[in-house]
Formats: sequence, C-alpha cells, structure tokens
Amino acid sequence: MLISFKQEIYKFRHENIALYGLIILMVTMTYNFFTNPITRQSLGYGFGANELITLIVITVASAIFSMEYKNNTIIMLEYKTSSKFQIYFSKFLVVLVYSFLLTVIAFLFTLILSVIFNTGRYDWLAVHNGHTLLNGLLTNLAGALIYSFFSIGLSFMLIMLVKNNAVVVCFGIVLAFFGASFSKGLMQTFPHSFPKD
Amino acid sequence: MKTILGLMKFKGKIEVNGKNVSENDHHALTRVGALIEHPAIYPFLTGMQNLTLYAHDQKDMANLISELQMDSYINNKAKGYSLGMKQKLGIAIALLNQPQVVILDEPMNGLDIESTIRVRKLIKRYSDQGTAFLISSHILSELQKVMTRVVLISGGQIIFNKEVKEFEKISHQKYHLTTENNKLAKKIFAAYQITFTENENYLIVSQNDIYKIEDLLFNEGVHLKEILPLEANLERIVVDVLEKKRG
Repeated sequence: MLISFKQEIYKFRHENIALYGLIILMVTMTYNFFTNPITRQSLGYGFGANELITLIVITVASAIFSMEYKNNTIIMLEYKTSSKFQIYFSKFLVVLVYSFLLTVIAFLFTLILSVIFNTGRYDWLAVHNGHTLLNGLLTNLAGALIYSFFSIGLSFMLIMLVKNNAVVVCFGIVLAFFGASFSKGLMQTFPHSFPKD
Repeated sequence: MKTILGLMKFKGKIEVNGKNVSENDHHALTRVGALIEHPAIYPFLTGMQNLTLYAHDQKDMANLISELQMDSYINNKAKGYSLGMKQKLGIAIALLNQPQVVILDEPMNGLDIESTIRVRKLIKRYSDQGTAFLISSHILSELQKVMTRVVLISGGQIIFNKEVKEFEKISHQKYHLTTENNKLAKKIFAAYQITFTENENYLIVSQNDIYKIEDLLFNEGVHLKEILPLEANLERIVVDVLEKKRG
C-alpha cells in the first residue's frame, strides 16, 4: 500500500495538472478580487474558492485516472497489485492531500489579497452574526474540503464508467456551479422529504 | 496473456511458479515482468523516471539502459520517443528486477535490426540465467532464433506443443541436393535404388544415402552444386499443423 502511494505521489509531482490547478485557482481568485465588489460575503467565500476547489479537484481526479487508461499503464498497476482497492485508494489519498493543500493556499491567498489591497476595511476578528469573518472563511473552506472528499470518489466512479475525461469535467462544472441550486430546488419541490430543523 | 496476469475473468486454474493466480490474488506475479500490447509508459516522465518508478536496483536498471543503448535519450521526456524507443523502454521495464518469468507480446514491434539483435541477445542471456520467457509473435523467423519450445493455440485448444530439440531431431534427416544435371542425377538414383523426391529445382534425399550419392555422382562425372541439410522451418510446421487441424 505504501509503495503504491509513493508511486502515485511520484507521478503526481511530475504531472503538470497539479500545477495548472493551483495556477488557475490563484488567477481566478485574483480576477474575482479585482472585478467584483468586495463584500463580507465574497471574503467569507474566498473569492469563489469554494466552487473552484471542487471543480479543480474533480478535474484533477478524473485526469490522473484517465491518464492511466490512455497510456495503457493501468495494466501495469492492475497486475502488480492484488487489490484494485489499493490502486484507487492511493490515488484517492493523493488527490485528497492535494485538495487540502489547495484549501490552505486559498485561505492564505484570501488573507494576503485582502491585507495587501484592502487595508483593513473588514476586520477579520470582529464578531458579526455570531461568528467572526475568519471563522466564516475557515468553515467554508473546510466545507469545500469535505465536499472534495465525495467529489473525488464520484469523479473516479464516473471516469471508470465513461472513460472520457471531458464528460467528467463537464459534470464537475455543473456540480460545482449549479449543485447548490439544484439541491435547493429539490428541497423546495419536495419539502416533506427533508427533515425539518 | 492478460489472463495469466490476472487481468481477465476466467474459469479454471492458473499457476505461475507453483502459486495460484486469480483476479484478486497477484502474489505469484511479483517476480513476473510483462510487456502487453503497447508499452506502458508515462509520457510526462523521462525514460529514466519511468524505470525508477518500478526499479528496486539502480545497478540493474543502469545495466539494462546500456544493454539496450538507450543512454543518449533516457533523460528525455518519453512523449518525444519514437515507436522503437518506446518499445525498448517497455522491454526494459519488463526485464527490471531480475524477473523469474517474462511475458512479451510482439517484443520486436517497431525495432530496427540492431535493436532486434540486442533484444534477442538479452532474452538469451536472461533465459540462460533461469528466466522463463513467454513470447507471442507473428514473426516466426524471429521466434525461431530464441525459442526452446513451441506451443500453437488455435480455436482455444493447444494443437501443437513440442520442444525445439524434438523437431531438430526430425530435421537433418533429409538433405537438399542440386547438381549441374539433375535429370542425369535422377536416372543414376533410380538405377542404384536411391529414394528421392523432387521439389522445384532440387532433389531431396535421405541423410543415410549422402556418401553413396557423392561417390556415385563423382564416378558418373556429375558435379554437385549444393548439398545442404534441410532445417526444420517453423513457418512450414505451423502451416502444416493448421492445415491438418482444418482437415
């Protein structure tokens, strides 16, 4: 298991997709910072980092799996290990660690952007509606991380079924940007199916 | 070959080196190297990195690289490799870590003549050290140079399974003969009751009659042009066996 994990890390380090994901995150966050009005909400949501992280994680997860099929290396992986679970789980762990890194970087980058360009218009530690802005940001990013946990699994399942990277990425876009509204719509249409608070 | 590697569903039993192989149990395959279909190479890694991913012994890896003459491009990213380079890298990956069994599917695919000879020598060397090779190829002349046993499978059945030593015994029993005057030679053979068969421009005679034939032809003043033992030809054997099977 450890050998599989080490191999996956080695491959991941040399693949460009990880770096591209990070660059896209930072570039998009910067773009959002400069083009949208800065409110408590945009700060609390890390300038769209929430959806971005989900989308990037789905794309990266699907890419590292479809890459194995494309290069025929899935045969090497499958015959050298007795358990297919080992292959999937080591990849899962690698992408999970990557999503954790993304959330940490998103958090730090939000702070840096707001400190450098915003000069303290919003106090991170002032209590507002029962929690500080800092807590709000951390909670949202932690939510993105937990959401990633499920997204990676879903992405792996889809890529194995469909074997087409583009399809999984499109699904990821739909999930990341419309997922919340879809859930809301479901809850409003079937109010009795969901437990009341 | 994929079934032996536990990659496909199957009924029955597969044993490698005395241990069972199943879809969920590949312990028997730890000392098995393989090259199936296309070489399994990561294009974003260099050749060296592709090998490092699986190699346990740096010296062994370096030996393979120099044996296959890959030194000049081993540190370039594999996405820039030609078909032959990728094939050599795939063979090197299959031969890493001194495997006990190596499964090769069309190993000479895309290789130039020098590389083909190198790979052939490498296979012979590893096999002398005790590695068993299972090679599938449609280039019979190439196979003939390295094989020690031939197994023909047709329609899911084994229709031929013999060691090369066995059919080498059968060959060398016939000789192929050409003289300056085959018509006269045939008359001489008939007169002295020497059995022969004719095939296009040459005569086929038994090994036992060779010395008698040489003396007779010399006495009658007929010069010999060619006298060669008939080698067992794998292509001929395969075609004959398949024809027999089809009835």
